[in-house]
Amino acid sequence: MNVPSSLEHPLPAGMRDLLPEEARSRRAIARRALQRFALFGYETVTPPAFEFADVLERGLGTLDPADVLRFVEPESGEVAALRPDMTPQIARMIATRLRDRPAPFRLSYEGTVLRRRSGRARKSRQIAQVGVELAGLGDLAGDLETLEVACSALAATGLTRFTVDLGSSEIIRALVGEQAPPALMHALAMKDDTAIRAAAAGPAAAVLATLARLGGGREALAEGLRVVRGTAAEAPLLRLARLYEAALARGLPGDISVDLAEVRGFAYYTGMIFHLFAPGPGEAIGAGGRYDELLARFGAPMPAVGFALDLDNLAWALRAAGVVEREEERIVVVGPADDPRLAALREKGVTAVAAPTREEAEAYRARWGYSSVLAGEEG
Amino acid sequence: MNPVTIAVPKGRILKPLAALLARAGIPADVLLADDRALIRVAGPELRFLLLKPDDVPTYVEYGAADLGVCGRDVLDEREAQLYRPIDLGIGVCRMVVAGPVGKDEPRDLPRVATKYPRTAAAHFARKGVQAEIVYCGGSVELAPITGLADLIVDLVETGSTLVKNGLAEREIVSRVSSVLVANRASYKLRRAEIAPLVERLRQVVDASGRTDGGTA
Repeated sequence: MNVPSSLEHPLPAGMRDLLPEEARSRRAIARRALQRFALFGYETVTPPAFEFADVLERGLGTLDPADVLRFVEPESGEVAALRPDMTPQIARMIATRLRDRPAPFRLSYEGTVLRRRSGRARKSRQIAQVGVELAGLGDLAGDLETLEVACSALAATGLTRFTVDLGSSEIIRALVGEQAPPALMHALAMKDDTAIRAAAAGPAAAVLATLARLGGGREALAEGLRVVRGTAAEAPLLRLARLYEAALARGLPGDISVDLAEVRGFAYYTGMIFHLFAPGPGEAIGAGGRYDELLARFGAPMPAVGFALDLDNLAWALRAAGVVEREEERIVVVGPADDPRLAALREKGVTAVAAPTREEAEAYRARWGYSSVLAGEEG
Repeated sequence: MNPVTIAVPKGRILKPLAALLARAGIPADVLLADDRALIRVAGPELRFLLLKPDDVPTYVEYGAADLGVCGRDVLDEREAQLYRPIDLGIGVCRMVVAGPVGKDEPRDLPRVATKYPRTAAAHFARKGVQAEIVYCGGSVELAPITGLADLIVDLVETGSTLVKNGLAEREIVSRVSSVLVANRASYKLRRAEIAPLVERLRQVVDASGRTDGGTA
């Protein structure tokens, strides 16, 4: 059977709709996470969908500038960019609109970011996120609070099995400096032993290759310390070990592991980096870290740390874990649209729609996934 | 718990790969079984997926397989976001630029036929040469003979196919070999199962690298 051509309304690659069931489940996940953020004192802000590119690109973070979707904004003739990340927008807000208020700033957000991902196996370009930013609280206290909020929010969505993988941008930075050759950074990001040895020079090559294969818990940290003892990487590695122990001591939900050679977002992060993983989507369900230099780029120097959860990947992980969304009660009432039972149900917070006959009500219930049918007054 | 899933490429790499895995104590004789099964179960904790080489990174990137074996040619062409902890030192060949023997390439805008458009474009861009890249799915050697292209970028093992078609290597784009790849999430979430496999394989590869006198 051919689909009539009138139904062909293609979307650009990587864009998609959410139909009612999925949209409902997505809302529920986002709501739980945001409620949890709020319980920790994080207030929601809503940044705009696009901004001038030069503002956004001051804080591009972990993204390749080639991943940003830009266009010329007709009003001003300036180049604007669809936000690829909300963190620089929050940084701008703190540095401008909120600058009179005293630090720390605890802000949360929900929204969709847009990225180009040409040629990749995974082409999703429209990424729904919720996240938090904590500005003005440095060091271990800020790192720990962020980790706790992240783990607590994941637990609140119903996820029980997940791993927080902790790293530090400063370990590798201490060994390779700011201007490391791109080939070396790529090799480190891919944990490509052969390529690391080829791209790094001298004794650093063996140290980097060893760090790249170290991961796990205390044993990995101890072996890492042996390898970097006496180098500039020793201090940041000790800081990572301290954070790992403190996170364990706080009894966060989820498992905690370390990665001694994490370089994702290397140019951006200035300390802790973390990724959240759970079985299912095959990539991180969330990521974050410390970026103490970001706010200075917007004229309000202060430490900052934050993370975002990827709602698509989180929903995938929840499905994989068999977490069933508790269905809210939704009722089809057999009767006219002004049936008083409708209003009574809605007052109680129950979704209610009317259908004129029993048959139509049953069909509606089945088609739209309602929980039950309430029969007509007289039977 | 699901078994650890390793995506392996069908074809000539399978035999040396099975031997390498066996030396690392990974039961891999199922890979050589003479049947058409695409999933080869090697025990309650391990299974293999037999795939076309081009599909290996896709399966691993989505996490349908935890680990995989894949040529660097494919990984680079796809910009696959995968860990590559071990170079297995098998399937060794090279990505080259080749052209007809005794014929100079045009100085400007050479037309280049290849199965690796991104790799080829990046190579010429690095040299500051503007090239027109023509995608060909296979039998790329035919392109210069028929006038479709001035040059080709292709994988070469011995070079005999090039010679047979009147072509000669002009330059090497990169050295290619098969690497163990890992899904990022699996690598973290299933460390307890995956790390010992990776470590044993690394020891075997390091040991054979030494006895072969190293091929780096």
